[in-house]
Amino acid sequence: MARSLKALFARPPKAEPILGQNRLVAHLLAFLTWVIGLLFFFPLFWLTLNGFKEESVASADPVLFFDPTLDRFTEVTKSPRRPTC
Amino acid sequence: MSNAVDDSDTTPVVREAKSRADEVKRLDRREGWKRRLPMLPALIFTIVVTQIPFLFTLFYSLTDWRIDKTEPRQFIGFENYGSLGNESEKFFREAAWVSVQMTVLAVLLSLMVGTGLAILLDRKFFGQGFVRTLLITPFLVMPVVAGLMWKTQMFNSPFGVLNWLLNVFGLESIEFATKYPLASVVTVLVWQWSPFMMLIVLAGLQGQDPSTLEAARVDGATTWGIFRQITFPQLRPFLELGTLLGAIYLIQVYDHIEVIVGGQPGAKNLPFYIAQRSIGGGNRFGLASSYSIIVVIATIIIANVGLRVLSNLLEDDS
Repeated sequence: MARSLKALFARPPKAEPILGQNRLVAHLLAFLTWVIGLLFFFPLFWLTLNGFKEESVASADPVLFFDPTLDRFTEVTKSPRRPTC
Repeated sequence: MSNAVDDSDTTPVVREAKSRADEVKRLDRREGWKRRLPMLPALIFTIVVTQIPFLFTLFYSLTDWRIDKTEPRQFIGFENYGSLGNESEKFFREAAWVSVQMTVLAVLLSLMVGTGLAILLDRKFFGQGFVRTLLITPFLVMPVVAGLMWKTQMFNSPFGVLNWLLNVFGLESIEFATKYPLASVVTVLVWQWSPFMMLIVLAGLQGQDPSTLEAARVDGATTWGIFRQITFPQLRPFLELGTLLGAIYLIQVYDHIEVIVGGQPGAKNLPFYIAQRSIGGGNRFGLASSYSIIVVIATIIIANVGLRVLSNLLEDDS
């Protein structure tokens, strides 16, 4: 197990991958992996994005482009934080 | 007859051999204790923080202790356990069933998704390391944060991203967390635990001997055949490990349920129900303790039987 974990972080061995001997298939699979990776990361991306929104923008219809603000961050890092609810 | 045996034992050669064997055994024992001694503090600590509270729970489960009454707690024997079959305890059985569904679904789905992701990642392509990092991040998020994020920003009915997508495609909005509580929780669990399974399976895939695969390919094996007959058997211990660890963690899920669906009956698992009945306002500490004991016993039985069945299944398969 420990050895395998080491192998995980080392350079991958030169074994041919299971799928994708064909060049085109290999490209398609790489593309698919990228899409899935981005989909998996999307909620966290959205979370980060919402951190820069005004509250009224964050809890409204989802928008990708908006006027970013750092107010939320100053609000939580300022001490002492007043309880708001 | 016994005399004869004794006589043969007392011949000088045998006696010498026996005493030497005893000596070896004695030294072995001493050696064993020497090795175990440094582990003793950790062992004692573990016993103090895990086993003694368990014994207390065992005792409480035999009392009618509840914190909202002023009377001292009384020893009532197995009454708590006897009442588990009653109509009044049907929520306990519901919670048990939800627990089983949630754990099995989440473990199996995250194992499947994780294996698929690992197979996709087990190749060289542009940005491999970056995509691997993207895929691992959900596992690093705190459970409460993940739950809140999914609830308020993904599942939320008017303004969640998923409902916005549905609206884009001309479909009606769905209040996911209310309508499909179990599925919502399982989705978030699978999202969080697939990366973990992916890491374990990826370790198994990359630990494979490349020459074996090469040889199979030279012999004309198909891709599916190689996966089925070489890769899968080698992944078996990793899949078992993933199942075991995943089941251990996912049977005690609490945060996601609390945050996403709260007290909805459709997705209340046992840890949540036990907390609800004791510290969460139910105040029935004795009864909740008996629930816990039942859960421990059931878990031990299911884990033993389940692991054996699982490993037999996989063994027959490969």
